[in-house]
Amino acid sequence: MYQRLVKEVRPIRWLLATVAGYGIMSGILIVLQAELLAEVVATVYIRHQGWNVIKPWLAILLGILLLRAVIAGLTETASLNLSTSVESSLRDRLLQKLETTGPMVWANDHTGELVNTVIQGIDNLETFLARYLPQIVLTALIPLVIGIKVAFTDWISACILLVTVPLIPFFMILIGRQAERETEKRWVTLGRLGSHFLDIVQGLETLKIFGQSRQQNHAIGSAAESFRKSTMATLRLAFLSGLVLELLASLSMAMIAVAVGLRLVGGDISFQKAFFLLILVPDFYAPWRALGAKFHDGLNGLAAASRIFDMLDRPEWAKGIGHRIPEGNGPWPIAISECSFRYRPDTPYAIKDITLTIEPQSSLALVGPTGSGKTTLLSVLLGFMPAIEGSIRVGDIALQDLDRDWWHRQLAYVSQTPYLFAGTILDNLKFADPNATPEMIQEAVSHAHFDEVLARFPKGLNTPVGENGIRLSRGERQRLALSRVFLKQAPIVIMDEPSAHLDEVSESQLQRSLFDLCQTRTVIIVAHRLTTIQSIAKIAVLDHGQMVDYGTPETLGRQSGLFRDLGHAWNTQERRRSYETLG
Amino acid sequence: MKHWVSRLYPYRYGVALALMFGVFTIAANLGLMSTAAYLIAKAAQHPSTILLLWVPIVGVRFFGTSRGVFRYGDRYFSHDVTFRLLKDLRQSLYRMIEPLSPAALKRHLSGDLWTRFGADVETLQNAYLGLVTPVVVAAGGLLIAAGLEWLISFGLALLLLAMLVLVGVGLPWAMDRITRGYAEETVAIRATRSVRWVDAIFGLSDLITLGAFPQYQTAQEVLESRWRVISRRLNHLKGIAAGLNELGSHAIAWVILVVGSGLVISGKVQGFLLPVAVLLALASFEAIRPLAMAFQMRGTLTAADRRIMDLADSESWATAPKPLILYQPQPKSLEWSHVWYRYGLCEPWILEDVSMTLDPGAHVAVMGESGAGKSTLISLVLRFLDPISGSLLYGQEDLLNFDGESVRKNISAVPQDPHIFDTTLRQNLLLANPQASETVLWNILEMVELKDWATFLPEGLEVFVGEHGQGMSGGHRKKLALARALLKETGVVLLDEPTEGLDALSARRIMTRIMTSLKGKTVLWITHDPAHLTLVDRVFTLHDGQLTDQLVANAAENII
Repeated sequence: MYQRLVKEVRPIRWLLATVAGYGIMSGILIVLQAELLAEVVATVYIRHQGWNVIKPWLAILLGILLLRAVIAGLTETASLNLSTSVESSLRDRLLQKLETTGPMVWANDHTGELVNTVIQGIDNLETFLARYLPQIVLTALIPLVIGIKVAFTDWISACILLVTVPLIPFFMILIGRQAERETEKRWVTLGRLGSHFLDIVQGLETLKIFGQSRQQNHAIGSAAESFRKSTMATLRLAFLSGLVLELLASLSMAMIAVAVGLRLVGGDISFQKAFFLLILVPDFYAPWRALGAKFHDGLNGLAAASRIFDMLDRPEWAKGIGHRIPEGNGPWPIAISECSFRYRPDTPYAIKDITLTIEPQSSLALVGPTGSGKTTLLSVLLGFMPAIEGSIRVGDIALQDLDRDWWHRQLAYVSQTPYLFAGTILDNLKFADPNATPEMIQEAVSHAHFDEVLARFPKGLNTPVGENGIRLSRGERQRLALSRVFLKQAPIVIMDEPSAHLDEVSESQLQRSLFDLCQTRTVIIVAHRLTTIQSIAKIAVLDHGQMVDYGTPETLGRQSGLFRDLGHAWNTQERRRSYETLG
Repeated sequence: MKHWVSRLYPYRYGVALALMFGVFTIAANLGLMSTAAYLIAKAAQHPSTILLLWVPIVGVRFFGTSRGVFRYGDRYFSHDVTFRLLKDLRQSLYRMIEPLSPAALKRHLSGDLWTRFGADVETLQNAYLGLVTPVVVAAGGLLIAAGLEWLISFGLALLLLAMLVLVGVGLPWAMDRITRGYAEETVAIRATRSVRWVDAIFGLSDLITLGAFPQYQTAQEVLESRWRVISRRLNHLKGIAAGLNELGSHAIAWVILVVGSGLVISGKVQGFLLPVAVLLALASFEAIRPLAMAFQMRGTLTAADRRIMDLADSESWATAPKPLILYQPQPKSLEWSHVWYRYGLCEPWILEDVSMTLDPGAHVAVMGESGAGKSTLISLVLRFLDPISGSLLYGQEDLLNFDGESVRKNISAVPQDPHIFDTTLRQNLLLANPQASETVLWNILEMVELKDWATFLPEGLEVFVGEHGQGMSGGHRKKLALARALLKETGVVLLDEPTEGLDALSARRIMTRIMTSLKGKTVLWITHDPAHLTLVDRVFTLHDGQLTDQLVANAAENII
C-alpha cells in the first residue's frame, strides 16, 4: 500500500523529502540546544561565572529555539499544503472516474459507502499524510542523530540506548501487534454495539407498533454492560504494550542517570557531559511515543487509501474513445447486431446475440420477466457499458467510436427513480438545458403535466427539493423528469419502466405525454404494464438475455408465447379500465 | 455540554482513580527528571560517601519503574469508566428519543443522516477521554510541576505556572479565536461538498445522460479552488501555531534558565538547584501537550451535542399524560373525519379534508401512488402524527384524546418500511407477541410462505437475519413483517403496501389467505396494485391530498 501511495500520489515524495530534511535539522538542533543548556548550567553552577560569560550562550540558545520554531512551522504548513493538494487532486480524479466508469460499474456498491469513502476516507487520508507519515520519518531520523551524538559523548549511555532501541520496535511489533489486534477487534465489537443502538432507534416505529419500545432501555443497558466486562478482560493484556514501552523509556533514563551519577562521583565524567545526556535522552524516546499515539491515524489512513484506490481501479465502462459523428442531419437509425454482454467473465451472459433495428421516430418497448436483460440492454444503448460481442451502430458509426458527449446530447433518459439534485425545481430542470428561457421551461412543464404539480407549491419553480427540500411523490418525480425530456429536445428518448408505482391519474397523464413524444422522437422504453405500450409500435420480448419475440403488439398478442403469458399477469388492466369508467 | 460532564458523578470513584493515575503518570516523569538532575548535581559536588546519593538513586529508580505502572492504571481505569458511561449515555439518549414520533424522527433522520447520528453518539461517548482527562490531568500536572519548582524558589514556581498556562491554554485559545472564521467557512464548504458528492454518486446516470456532467464538474472545481484557498490560509495559521507551540515549549525552559541563572549568580538560590529547575521546566511541557487536542475536541463535541439536542427538542411534542384507552380485541369501526395534515407551514397539504369510514369488520383498500400520503393515514391512527385539524374515531371515541401507547395496543400494523431487527428470526416474530407458541409461529410462517425457507435452514427460527434483515431477500423481509403483524391479536389491522417487492403471483396467494384469516376484523390495506381490489369490500383513492373515487370493488369484479 505504501508503494502504491508513493507511486500514485507523487507529491508524497516531496513531503517525505521535506520531512526528512526537517528530521535531520531538528535532530542536530536538539543536540545543539542540549549542549548549550548544559554549557550555561555548568558555567553558572560548576564554574561560578557570571552574566558576561553566559549572555552570548543564552542569545545563541534563543536563536536556536527560534530556528526550531520556524522549521517546525514551515514543515507543518508544507505537509498540510501538500496533503491539501493531494486531497484536491484525488477528488478531481474520483470525479473524473465517476464520469468514465458510468453508473453500472457501481451498481453493486452500497452508495452510502461510496459517499463515505469520498468524504470521510479522504479526510482520513489527510490525517495520514499530514500527521502519521511525517511521524514515521521523524521516528527514523531524530533518534538516529541523537544516538550518534550520545555514542560520541559517552559510550556507556550509548550502550544503554542501544539495548533499548531494538527492544522498542520488537515489543511494539510483538506485544503491540497482538494487543492492537485484540484492541482492534474490541473496537469492532464496540462498533457493533453502536449499530445495535442504531438498530433499535431506527426500528422505533416497529417497536412502538408492538408496544415494545419502553422495554428496550433495559436491553441497551445490559448489552453495554456485558460488553464492558468482556472487553476489560482483554484490554488488561492489550495495555501491557504501553506498559512495556513506557517502562523501557523511563527505565533507561533512570539507568543512564544513575550510571552517570555514580561515575560523576568518581570524577570519570564531567558534570556538563552528564547533564547534557540527561537533557538529550527524553528526546531520544519522544518520537516513538508520538508515533504510538498516532497508531489509529495510520490504520485509518491505510484503510481509506485502499478504498480510494479500489474506486480508482474500476473498469472505465462508460469512457468514450471515439470522436466521430454520423454524417448528415439525422435522425439516424440505431442498428443492434448480435450484441452480447456479461458483467464478469465467470457469469452467464446478461444479454446474448440481440439483433434489432430501431428506425428514426419509431418506438420500441422491451418487455420480459425480471432479470431477462432489459435494463442491461438499455445500459449498453446508453453507453454506460460496452457490448462485449457484436455492435451497436448509430447511422454508420459504431457506438464505441461515437463522440460520447454528442451521443448523450442526442438522448434523453428517464430512469425508474429519477434523481432529484439538491437545489430548487428550476435548478433540476436546468440540468437539461442551462440556457432555457422561462417560456421554454413553461412549455416543457405543461407538456409533462408537471404544471399541475407546481400549482400546489406556494414557491412554484423555486421550491427546494432533494436532501433538504420537500419530498416529491414518485409520480411527481416522473413528471419532473419528463419535463427535462421535453426541455432537452433530444431526438431519442429512453425510459425505464416509467409507469411503475403510479396511480391511474398520473399514469394516464404519462400516457398522454408519451403519446406526444412518440409523434416526433425515437422512443425506447422498458415496460412492465400493458398501458405503457399502448402507443408503442414494436415490442421486443426478452427472456434469459435473448430476444424470443419481436413484432407489433397486435401480432404478438395473437401468438402464444411469453408475451401472452405476461399479458395474463397484466390482465388486471382490464379490471382497471372498467373500474375507471365506473369511477 | 455540562450535562454530559455531570453524568460522571455516579462513577466518581472510577473517574477519580483514572484521573489520579493520569496525574501520577505525569508526576512520575516530573519526579524522574528532577531527581535525576538532583542526583547528578549532587554527584558533581563529589560527596565523601556514595550513601549521600542513595535517596536520589532510589527516587530515580522508583519514578523510572512507576511511570509505566501508572500509565497502565491510567489507561485501564479511563477505559473502564468510558465503557460504564457508554451504558449510561446510550440509555439516557434512548429515554430522550423514545417518546418522539417515529414518523417525525424518520423525516428528520432520513438517508445518510443516520450515519451522522451514529457518529454523533460515538463522539459523545469519547467526550470523557478526549476532553475531561486532558483538562484535569493537565491541571494536576501543572500544579505538581509548579509545586516542585516552589521547593527551589517561589518566584520560579510562579513564573513556570504562568508560562505553562500561557503556552498550554492561551496559545490554543488564541489560535481557536483567530482560525474560527476560516474554520466556519471550511465547515460550510465541506457541507456543500458532501451534498454535491451525494448528488454525483446517487444521480450519476441522470448527470451523464442529461449531458450535465461537465457543468457539474465546473461547479465542483469552483468549490474546490475556494476550498484550496481557504485551506492554504488555514494551513499557514496552523504552521504559525505549530511554530509558536514549539517555541513556547522550549522557551519555558529558556526563561527558567535565564531567571534561575540570575538567582544563582546573585546567590539567592543554591547552584546545584539550577539543573533541577531547568530539567523540571523541560519535562513539564508533557502535562499541557494534550490541551491543544482537547480544544479541537471541544468543537466537534459541541457540534455533536447541539445536533442531538436539536433532535430531541425539535420533535418533542406535548407529552401531557392522557387517559388510557381500553384494550378491546373485538373489531370496531375506524373513522377519519375531516382530517387535514401537512408537515410544515410552507409545505403542500398531504391530506386535505379527508373523511373515510371503516365499518367494524370491513376490509378496505386505499389506492394512490407512492408518496401521495396514504401512509400518513396510518401514522395518524397509530398516533405517530397529530392532524392539523379533524378527528379520528375508534368506535365512539376520538383517538386524539388517548395515550398513544394504549391506542397502539388495539391496532396491529405493517408499516410501509418495516424494520427487521438484527437478531434471530424468532426474536423478530416474538416482538409482536412474546407469548406466541411454537405452533402459532410456524402456522403464521406457513401463511406467509416462509415456512419452507425456515425449515430448510439448519438454524431454523434461531437464524440471525442480519442488519436490517440483510441476510434475507427483500421479499422474505416483507413476508416476515406481515407475519409479525398477524401475530399481534387486535381487532384492527393496518397494512401499508405489505406485498411491495413480492412477485404478483405469490402476493396474490398470500394476501388471499391473509384476508380470509382476517375475516371479521377491521382491515385497512394500502396498495397500488389494482389486482388486489377483488380481495376487499371497498376502495378509496387518494390523489393530490384528496380522497376520491369511492366504490364497492366487488362490483368491479362482477363486471369481469
